[in-house]
Amino acid sequence: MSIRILIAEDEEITVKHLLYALEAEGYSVTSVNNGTDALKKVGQEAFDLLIADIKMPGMDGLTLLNQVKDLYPAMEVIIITGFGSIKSAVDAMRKGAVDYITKPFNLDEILLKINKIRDIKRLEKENMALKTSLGLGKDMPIVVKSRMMKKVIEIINSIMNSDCNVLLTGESGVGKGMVAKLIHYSGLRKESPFLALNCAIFTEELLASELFGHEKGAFTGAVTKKQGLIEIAHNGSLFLDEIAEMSPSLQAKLLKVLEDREFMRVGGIKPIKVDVRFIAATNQNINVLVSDGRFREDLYYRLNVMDIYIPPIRERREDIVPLSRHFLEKQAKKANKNIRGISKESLKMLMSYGFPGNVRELENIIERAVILENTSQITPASLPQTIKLFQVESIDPNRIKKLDEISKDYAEKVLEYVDGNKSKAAEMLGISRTSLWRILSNK
Amino acid sequence: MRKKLLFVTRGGEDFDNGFSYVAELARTLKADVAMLMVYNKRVIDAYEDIMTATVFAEAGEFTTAKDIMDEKENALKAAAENKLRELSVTYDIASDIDYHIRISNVPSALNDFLKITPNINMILISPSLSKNKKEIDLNKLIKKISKPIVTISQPAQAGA
Repeated sequence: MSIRILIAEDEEITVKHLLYALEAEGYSVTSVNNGTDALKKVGQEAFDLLIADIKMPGMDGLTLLNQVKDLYPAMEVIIITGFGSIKSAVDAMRKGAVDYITKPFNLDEILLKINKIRDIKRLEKENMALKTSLGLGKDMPIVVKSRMMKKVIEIINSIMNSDCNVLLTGESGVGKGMVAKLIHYSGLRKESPFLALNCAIFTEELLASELFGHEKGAFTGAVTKKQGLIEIAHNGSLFLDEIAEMSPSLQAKLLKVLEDREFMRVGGIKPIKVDVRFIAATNQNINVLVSDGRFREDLYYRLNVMDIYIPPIRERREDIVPLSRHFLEKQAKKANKNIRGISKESLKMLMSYGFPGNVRELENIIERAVILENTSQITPASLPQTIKLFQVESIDPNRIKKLDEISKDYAEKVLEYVDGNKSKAAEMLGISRTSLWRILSNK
Repeated sequence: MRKKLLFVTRGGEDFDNGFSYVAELARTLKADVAMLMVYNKRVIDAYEDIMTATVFAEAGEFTTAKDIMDEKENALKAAAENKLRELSVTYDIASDIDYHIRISNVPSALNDFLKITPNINMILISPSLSKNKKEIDLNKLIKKISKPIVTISQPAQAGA
């Protein structure tokens, strides 16, 4: 992770030295030659570190430090002092500077200090990310056996070196959050924060504050300044779940962030520049929402650079057994129980159940079974009785498939079954090779 | 905001058939439950009640006429409330199940309900309604409703 540095120094030669050394180290550096301009600059762009000379024309370094700490308490400040002026350095540290450097300075020493600050900043961001990431674990493995999910993984791998925004679609509970995380951690921004926000759980005002942050006094209750998730996710990814629930006015504000890569905090007057990859998700048919005018078309196209559909578990039953075993291992470890398997009868029950709540429901069923089970394997007795008593069938009106799509899916399955032998597949399907080719090439 | 499951059932003696599944699913998904009980209009419109109400209405006693017409609906609501309280205890779910009573046909009642209650995440149709193709035509329903619909059925050998 890189941090953004602002240098406020009136000595041209010092600035040149610092710029050369810091840019060579990969930092993004901006410089100004006085305190007043520095204050203006930190209001316009988000910086992580300010390096300010104590003696500058106009506003001096200590006054600048005071004002910056008052306005942007999260920003770190290093003060440059003249040789031997220890008293000024102590003053600066008392006023909140993280460190000081004395002139003439040693570039290696400065880099060491800045790298330390970078590491602290990264930890802070990761900590914030963990607190706000809906509890998604970084080490969550993907359990995939079905052809449909293998395709999803293929798509994720194909965008590994891209930085495009992604729109995830699929029913509730299919694992969109986990896929979002996988996209982030397999991508170019993996060293930077991954933040997640469910747009459906906040009122419009709160969602705006969560996304964009707010200035002190922006509204009743805004007693302190707050950074929004867009600002915290700088250089990283922001996962916006249930994006279709976002109000039209917030959609407009989000579009501006995507277009201009800058935003203003609620109650703020200065734009803040950011570089964030957006991964959005919805369980609704967003095309319908767009055509009904309930979701902005321009925002849809900005988010939908890559569209990934995650199928419900009832359409990829091959994943039920490996997923059940994966959840069993995880939950048994958590509950400290020695349950090593799932009985055949239990697996049969799970395989024939409809799972309207998808993977999330399967995980919860296994979690509960682990708690209830007294033997070394999950037996039907520890599974919910209702899944034996009732049969369920789910229809998602947003995902009604066309006959062509079903034919293609089925033909692909048969082809996979015969190890890609098209003649054999065509024979099994009772069609000619040409017809099979036509079905398979249907987009 | 917790997810909300809507259990749609025909009001009457066995309106709770299938509710055990919904309660279990709600517990598994950590969701809340709303119930839409739809009564057939003819249950309400007993001929004698209509005639009596008409007599009062003709005599200008509009309040009494309305009371007579409301009486049956109120009685149904009271009975449903009692039953729901029992269900809450039996299935150990929040005592304040969000329930709604409609006197209409099921598709209209469901459509109207979803217009005023958009925060429903999944619709679960009771076994008695699921098997009754005359009352619910899923093909028609999915043209008007965009929420996932789950039909509950009970295999003959499963018992109640």
